[in-house]
Amino acid sequence: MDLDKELKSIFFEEGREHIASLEEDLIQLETDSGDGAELDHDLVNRIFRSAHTIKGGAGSVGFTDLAGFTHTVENVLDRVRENQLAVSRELISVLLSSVDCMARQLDAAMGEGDPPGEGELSTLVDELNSYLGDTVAMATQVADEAVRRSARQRSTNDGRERTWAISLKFSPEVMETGTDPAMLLTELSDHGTVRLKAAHLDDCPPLEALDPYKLYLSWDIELTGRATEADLDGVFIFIADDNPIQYRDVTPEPAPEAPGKAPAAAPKAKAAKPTPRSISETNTDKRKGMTSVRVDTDRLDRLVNLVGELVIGQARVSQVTRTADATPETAAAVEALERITRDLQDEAMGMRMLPIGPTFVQFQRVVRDLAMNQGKEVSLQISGQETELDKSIIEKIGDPLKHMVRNAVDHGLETPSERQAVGKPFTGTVNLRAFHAEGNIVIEIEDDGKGLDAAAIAAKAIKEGLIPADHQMTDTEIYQLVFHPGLSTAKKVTDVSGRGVGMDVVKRNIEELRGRVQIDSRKGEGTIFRITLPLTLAIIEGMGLSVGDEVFLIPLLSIVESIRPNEGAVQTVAERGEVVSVRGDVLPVLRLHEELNVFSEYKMPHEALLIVVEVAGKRFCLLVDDIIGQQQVVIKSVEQNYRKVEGVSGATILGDGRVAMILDVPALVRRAFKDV
Amino acid sequence: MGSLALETERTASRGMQFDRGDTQEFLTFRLADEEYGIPILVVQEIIGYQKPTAIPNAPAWVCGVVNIRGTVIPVVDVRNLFGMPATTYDDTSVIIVNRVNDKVIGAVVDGVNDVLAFTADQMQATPEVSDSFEVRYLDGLGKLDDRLVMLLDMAELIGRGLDGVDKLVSAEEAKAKAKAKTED
Repeated sequence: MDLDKELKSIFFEEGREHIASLEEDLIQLETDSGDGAELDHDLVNRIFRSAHTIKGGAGSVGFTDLAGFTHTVENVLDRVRENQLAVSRELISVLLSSVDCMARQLDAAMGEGDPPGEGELSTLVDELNSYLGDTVAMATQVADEAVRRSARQRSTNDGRERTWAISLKFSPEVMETGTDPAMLLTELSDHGTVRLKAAHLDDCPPLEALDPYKLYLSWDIELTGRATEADLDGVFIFIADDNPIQYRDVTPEPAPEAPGKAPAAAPKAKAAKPTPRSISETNTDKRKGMTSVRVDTDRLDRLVNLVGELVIGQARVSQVTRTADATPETAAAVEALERITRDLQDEAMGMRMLPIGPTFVQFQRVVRDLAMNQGKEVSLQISGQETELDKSIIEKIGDPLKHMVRNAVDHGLETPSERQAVGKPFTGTVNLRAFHAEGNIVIEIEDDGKGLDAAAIAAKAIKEGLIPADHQMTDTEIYQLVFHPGLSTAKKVTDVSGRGVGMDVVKRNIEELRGRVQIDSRKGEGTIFRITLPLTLAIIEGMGLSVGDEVFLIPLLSIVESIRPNEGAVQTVAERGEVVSVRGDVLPVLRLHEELNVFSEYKMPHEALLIVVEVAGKRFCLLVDDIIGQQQVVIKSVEQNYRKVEGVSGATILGDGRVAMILDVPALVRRAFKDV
Repeated sequence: MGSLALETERTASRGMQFDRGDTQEFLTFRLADEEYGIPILVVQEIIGYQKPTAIPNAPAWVCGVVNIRGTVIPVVDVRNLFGMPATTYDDTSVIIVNRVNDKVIGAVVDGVNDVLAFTADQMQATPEVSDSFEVRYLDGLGKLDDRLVMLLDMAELIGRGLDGVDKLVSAEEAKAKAKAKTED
């Protein structure tokens, strides 16, 4: 059933978010709970609420295992909330493992990955239960059973027939959130027989004032069946906060006790929110609910693409009016249009932007676990969480970043005793920073550990035959070697890093995002990995180059400078192609027209231009006919209708409607000089 | 649009079925003195010739890419693919834009002629005249009065052709290779 699937996917997304915030908050709780520190009740309540929401949601969509397990977690959290249980590192560890478990159960329920094993689960449950007092533990077990049973046999539960009087009253805006009352009725009818008692039309405005997107109706219905209060909670869970829905047990005979809950003495009014809320409160809630809308990313992409088209179309109009005899009025109108188009483009691009914060925060956990594992004391300092990046970049940068953060803890930082021996603070620090610089996003991972050992890296590289023994490389160039596949200087292999795989993948991933990574390191003082990323993948700041009849673009980011060589400056080196000497450095030369198989009249290098580019810390020269100019262009896929072209990262449409290829400089250089 | 694309795909993937009694429509076009036909459902639109932008290191029969309302599509030189002598394309040449297997691909031809409907008895399988290169792209022959139209299998011609572009050599390239071999 589609509806079911939709509900599940909503729960899945929200569950993910709650699990992420649980993790973050638990680590915060641990950090805050130093010696005798006051318990932050807001924080604990937030944690409790997250767990509770997951439980409720899981139950309502039929993820019974997850609901049952989360219930146990919730019990422990409840004791923390009631000040009956002190926060300890061990407790947080157990809770974090439980959160992991929940995440895996959630994934498994959505058909991704395997659920945690029975043994693992029961060990965790035992550990969790050990935090509950004896009596409480007993009660929990009972309650736990009850929840499991109720979840498993949702409608049968204790087997008793009940009658519920339900007042289905919605806020008029309920339709805007995609809630369909008919859908709720269908869901209710799964739990028993639904009878309509009354439909209220009182709130209906006269026809001319009727807004067809609003809901003015409300209903009183009666549900007879084996539904429990929890079942009803489950049905209304997603709308209970914003809609004044009420239900109560009106079973004629004395109502049975709800298992594991306070006696449900009939008729106990159970409002979604305990009491009818004041109008002002409802209003603020409503406003809060309306400030954001979930939009499919595909639709966003289409919007961004269309705006890209608009920008190109606009550029053509501008070009035409400039050359034609345009009246001042036309010119002014086109100018205004240009301004609006630019604003629209900024807005559309902005919609794809997300803060890097959540990505950073999840590393707290990574660092904590790894530090405990290795007996290190590490503090992860995060700054620039609000820095926004294109959604697709954020998705792809997570794993490389994680790897680098782990590397910083694993390889960068020393053990506490080593640190004290050299007079450093006991606790090592890893700084994770994000900020804007020159139209790019910079992410820095800095540790105050032992720094990279250039001599050791070089020695290893020489041994592996990567560089000649008489190399004349600067330290910065040597540091770049850590990105070489198969080169790892870790003294011993850990399960985290040191197998020599990883850093090369990290670098490749970053380059695929059109980014760069640089390393600064000082022996004994620490290392900084600096990643430079474009703001967005949809637009590129490019330099137009002409080669023969064709125009190519290369990302501005990869250009160091352009030079016109003197006559005879470009020399042929036996077997190794051409080189040119630029201020004492000998750089290899790549003739673009040969590399790209583009017809070009032969020109002496001193009649053409050399574009100096930097790839993997090394510089190369591209021989081109001329520079056309710098421009911001929208990237189009070539692969979509053709296939991947080596050396080309995409295409763009120029102001005159023609297509120009955007070159993938690292790939070109890699292909031409196999040893890079 | 969506349903049309789906239909197109189905037509393209199953090729032609001669045992069906219904008629099929073909867009016919000229290459030198010969007339070829493309299943009408594969054709998305026909545009005037515009000079494609070369794709680096592309095979000779892929002339490059053009911009169709913001989408970058490759353009295939059918003459080259069939080993016919090259010609200079100009304003009278056209690009037939096809949608095959979810890819949109243009084919530059000398000009379009007509839309012809063939009944099953007007179509016949390709005679096994030769094992020459272009035969595999032919799905059959259509005969209408005196006209003989070579019906193309667009999925084979373009869809699969582009996927296995490395393995595929155009007739011209094949000839050049053969020549090089004999010279050795």
